[in-house]
Amino acid sequence: MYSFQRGAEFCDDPNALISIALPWVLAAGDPYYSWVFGGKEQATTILENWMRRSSSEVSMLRVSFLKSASEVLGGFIAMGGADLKRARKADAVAIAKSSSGSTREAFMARLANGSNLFPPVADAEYYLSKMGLGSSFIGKGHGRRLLDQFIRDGDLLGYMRYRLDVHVGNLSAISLYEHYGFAVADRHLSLDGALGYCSMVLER
Amino acid sequence: MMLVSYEDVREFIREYLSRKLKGQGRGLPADFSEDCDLLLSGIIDSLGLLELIMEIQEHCACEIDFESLNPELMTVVRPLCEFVADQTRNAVS
Repeated sequence: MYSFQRGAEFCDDPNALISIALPWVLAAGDPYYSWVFGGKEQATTILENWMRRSSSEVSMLRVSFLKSASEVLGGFIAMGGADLKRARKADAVAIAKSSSGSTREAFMARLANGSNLFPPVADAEYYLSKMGLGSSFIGKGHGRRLLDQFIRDGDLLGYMRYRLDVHVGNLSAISLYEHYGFAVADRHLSLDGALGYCSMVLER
Repeated sequence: MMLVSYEDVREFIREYLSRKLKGQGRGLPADFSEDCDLLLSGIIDSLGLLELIMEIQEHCACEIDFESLNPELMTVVRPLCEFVADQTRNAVS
């Protein structure tokens, strides 16, 4: 039987689960994360730190884990638009505090290049920030289970509009979302045209 | 390092943001105050925060270490100005 459990409820120290969640959180955020942070290694280090911070968009406290018996299959991170704004502020401040000199300038150049990629999320939208599975659990119908729970959580909180952003090249994910009823609302390219993301919306 | 007062930082930020927003076809909101959170209000984004920090540092002619500033307050005008003014005061005294 399958069940869901939030990181905060999972165990005394949700950070102990970072090694399980980090691979799919990074995969869900890529290629953007590796691109904007200047490589996969840098992205992994930064994300791992962010996952430890309760205020981050990818905090372990925000992860809903999909479990089968005691095995963790994957999970998702979701929040309303107002929470997302606060979480992204916290992450922006973390970057501002930790970067300096030439590192900061290079990061800013990449950030500027990608500034068009993700349109703002409205306060009234419930946002799927990350969703993913451990590599051995992909292709077994668990993606739909994750989406079911994402929508259930949003319904319980009173949301009627659901949003996500997905890389234009992630055709299997786009197909899953479309089968679920999401429709592409917009497509956005980085200023140099190298990276593209779709905004997808589901109205209920 | 240049000694800058709270009022000096505040005026610098206001002028910088006015100039920046004008370039984007926008202006500072009518209710802009010292309690305004620059990120949550949408006046700046993540990139804008980094640019603002660089501009403040250039204005003060020093690298300011923001590590000890509460992250919640770093994007609010009053505490940001107070912090920068304190930092420059401590550095020159």
